[in-house]
Amino acid sequence: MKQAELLSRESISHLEIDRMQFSPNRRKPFEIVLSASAMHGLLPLLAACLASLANPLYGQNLTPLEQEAIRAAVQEADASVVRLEPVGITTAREGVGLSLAPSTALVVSAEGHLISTTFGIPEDAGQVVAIFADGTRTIAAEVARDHSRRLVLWKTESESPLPVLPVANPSEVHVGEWAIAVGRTYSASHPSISVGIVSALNRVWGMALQTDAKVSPVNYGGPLLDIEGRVLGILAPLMPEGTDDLDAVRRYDAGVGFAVPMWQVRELLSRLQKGEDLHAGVLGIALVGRNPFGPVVIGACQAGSPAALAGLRQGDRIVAAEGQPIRFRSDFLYQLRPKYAGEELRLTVEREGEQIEIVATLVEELPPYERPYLGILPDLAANVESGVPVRYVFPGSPAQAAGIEPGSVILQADGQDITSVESLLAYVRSQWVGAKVTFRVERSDAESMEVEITLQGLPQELSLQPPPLLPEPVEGEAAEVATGRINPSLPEHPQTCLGYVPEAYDPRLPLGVMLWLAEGTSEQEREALLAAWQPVCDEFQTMLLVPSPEDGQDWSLEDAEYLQKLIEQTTQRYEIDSRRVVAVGSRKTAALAFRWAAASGGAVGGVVLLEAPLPATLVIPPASPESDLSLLLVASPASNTARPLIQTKQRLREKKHPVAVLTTRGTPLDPEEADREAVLRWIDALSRI
Amino acid sequence: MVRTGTGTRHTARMSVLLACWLLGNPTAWGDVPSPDVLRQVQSKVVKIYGAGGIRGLEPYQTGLLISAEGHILTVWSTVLDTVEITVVLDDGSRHSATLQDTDVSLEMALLKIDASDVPYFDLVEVAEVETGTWVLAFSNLFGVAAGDEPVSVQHGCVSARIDLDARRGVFSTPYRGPVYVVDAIVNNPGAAGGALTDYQGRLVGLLGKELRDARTSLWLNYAIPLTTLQPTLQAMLEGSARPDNPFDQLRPAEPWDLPQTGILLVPDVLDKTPPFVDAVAPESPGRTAGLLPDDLIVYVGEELVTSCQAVRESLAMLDARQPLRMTVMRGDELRQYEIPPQAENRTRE
Repeated sequence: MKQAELLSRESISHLEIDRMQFSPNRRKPFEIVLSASAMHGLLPLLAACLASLANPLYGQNLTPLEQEAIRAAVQEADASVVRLEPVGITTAREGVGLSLAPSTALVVSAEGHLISTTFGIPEDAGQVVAIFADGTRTIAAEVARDHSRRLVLWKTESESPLPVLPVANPSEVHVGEWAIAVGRTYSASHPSISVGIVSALNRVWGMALQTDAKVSPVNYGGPLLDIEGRVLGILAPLMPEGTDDLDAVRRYDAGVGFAVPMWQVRELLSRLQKGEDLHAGVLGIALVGRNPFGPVVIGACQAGSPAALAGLRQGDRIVAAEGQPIRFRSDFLYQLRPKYAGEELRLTVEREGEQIEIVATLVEELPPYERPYLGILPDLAANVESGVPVRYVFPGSPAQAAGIEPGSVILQADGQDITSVESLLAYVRSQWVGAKVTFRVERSDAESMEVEITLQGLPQELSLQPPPLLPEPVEGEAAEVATGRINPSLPEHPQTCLGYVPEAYDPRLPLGVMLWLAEGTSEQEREALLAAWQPVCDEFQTMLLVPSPEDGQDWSLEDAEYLQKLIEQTTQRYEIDSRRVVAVGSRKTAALAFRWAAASGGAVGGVVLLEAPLPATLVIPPASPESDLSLLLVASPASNTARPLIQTKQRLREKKHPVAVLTTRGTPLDPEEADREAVLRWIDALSRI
Repeated sequence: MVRTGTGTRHTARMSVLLACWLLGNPTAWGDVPSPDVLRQVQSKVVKIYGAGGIRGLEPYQTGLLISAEGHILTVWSTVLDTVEITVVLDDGSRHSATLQDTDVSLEMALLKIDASDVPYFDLVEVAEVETGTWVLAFSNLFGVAAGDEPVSVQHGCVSARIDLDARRGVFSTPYRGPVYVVDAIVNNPGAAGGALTDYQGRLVGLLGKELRDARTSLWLNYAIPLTTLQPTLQAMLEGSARPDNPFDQLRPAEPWDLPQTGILLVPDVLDKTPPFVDAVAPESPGRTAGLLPDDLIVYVGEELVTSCQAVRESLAMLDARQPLRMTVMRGDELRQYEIPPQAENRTRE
């Protein structure tokens, strides 16, 4: 029998006893040495003791038994653990060199298929050589890749059948049993091992076993074995919330390692062998709130996403998935995360007291989100009981075509009452470009009518069309907060800030905010900046903030936290229209302004870049329902057509961010008054729906 | 078999005792080495305090008593770079130590304190261990043990026995030789000079200084095998002539080079010119073996080569009296050729 071959000759005597008395469950004799909690009974121990009596080698204690078993398991696995050497890559990321570092793979078919992880194997890896325990070298050709579990299937040509290791039985695997991690990166001729226990089952949303054996680039792709040499899983750079292989590597000595269960890998093989690349399945919803123990309620359902196509709606509460009851966010993730694009997800949702069954087909990537557009500016200052009064209708917009006029009040959308600007905005955002929505509108001639409107995409050059009306300042009591020049400070931050609040500020008319990331400017220059922009800020009800960075000179990513807190504090003190909050960046601060705005989670509605193209290395996230940024590029006539600026514009538009370009007659850092007004008008128009 | 919870566990414990009794060995322990063994080893491990304390360099490390007269084996480091080296023994006694000898290529130092009849590791009883063996590490890692506190004990298994020399450029250390890699995090600040032992308390290795893998940025946890240090150490103790450093002789007297093979590589113009074969001389050993122009050399012997320079360097490490294995990429195919020894007839020692 296998076990007998597996262990060395000296140990056969106690195995014989083992087999006679304890078959079929032969793991027991080794388990007894684990710990008290793993001890199962008297007989196996006696067997071990008898074996010890029979063989003086084990006279001292039981340790040699487990040592022998571990060695035997590794020895048996040796021929199936392969070294992969990429031949000629020289990529390096974030200080962690990946160049030419070998990795490990496991034989999964006698015909020459190997499984490794994606770690250190970029998609353009070029030629990869597989080196077997006996020194044989052969080319490994990539067959397919699982981007979700970070696995790669390889095919090698082999003259003789390759040895495939037995797979552990999932129902027998339990926490506390021995786990042996095997790799082949230190040396081609000998495997390296690390011994620990199975720390947990069903980790990483059910996609991994956890072990305290050391899992790192030294053995990624190698097998995690049980004490009998059966494969528990493939060691992989997984993390529950990690987005990157390197997230896992950073924890290599933290006592937390993961392996993709081998029984899962085995089920994937037939798909991978056909050359099918697998991707994590995306549903396209955002859940309400961040409380992991709160009810699982859909907060947004991206238009055109599998969720929207299957009929899920904002407000639906998910009560079951794949037949499993869903109480918490994590229950839901356990059902969703292991799924691949192309697979179905069965959900039961509760809507208005009814339970509805929904089947969504997951996709690899959502279609880029494009914000639907009605074509109005709401009148933020008007005082009406219900509905949203219209301040301005953009020419050529769907709203204009439907006969909506300034002064009209939007009362309902598809039969739902519109009670606030937020509710109208949320309804339009839940739709998609091309969707037909029936609005009930009350016109200024007091005539209430229903109109069907087909929503369009946001126009790019929106702001630079004929000027919208300016809001009438609201008559009323003077504000109780500071207006005019202010110097907001945050106690725990050393940064300073100069600011200006329109004198006519009234809490009933929310302000826009220009947060100007000036670079290396002196106190005087900042004063001059405030003086120049003050009149237009008054006119367009916008606050100007000019902070200076921590070191007084250069902005760094560390300042982003300060900016976030500055906006939070401002929002607490003043009524702010978050969609009219913009970050202003120039050459050195453009990247920070954009990154901060994109990561602000909806606290910022726009970015103004003063003759400052975005760095080519900056990752531009696609527009999403939670965060959509509009951009205004201010350029001199000379730079307007310059290549970097055009590239920036194209890259932003590809990700569906609306981009307007303003060519200024002054210099972009100090535009003429008419251009300053144009900037403010653009900001004013960001509250469009 | 039926699991019956604590009852069964109790029975299991009883049976361990029974087993011990059966074996007539009252000190036999189930799955851990006995406390006696641990105490004995701890008593032979010392704390060393010296120079440092600036720029993140710790002013302390660990050492091993290797004679009853107070000889101490440790790792050569900046800690010893001072006239005042203090050694604290397991019993808490403090001693002033003198630096007796060092070996830079082995990164080893010998200290001596004025003592008699101290517990020590008998160098006759050192052990070699296989991959997968349980081992124990004893050291004053992070300086957590002070005064008469015994040094810390860690537990792990031998992950691999590797050759640091075979990983040229991957680790920056003067030591070029075999190491035991351990799967516990044993090479911490202050741990250098500590002991790696087996479960019987026999000395296996000397814990090295912290070392990082340049390719993966991972720290290596390792110990230098005592058997490697032993000849030099013995010579140091006896005051006799030291054996030649075995790692100085890695370069063969008659190495391979390209002219011997008849292979001409493409002109080496770039920093890392890929080693394509430009031409192979007719009738040359290379041609006879089967190499052709446009082959890309991928391995020389066991070494992966990615540049013309690397080919030359790898050849210089291989003995021309042995056959030369070359692996090349021809189109999409990997091919392996063996060139017979060239130096065979000239010299034979």
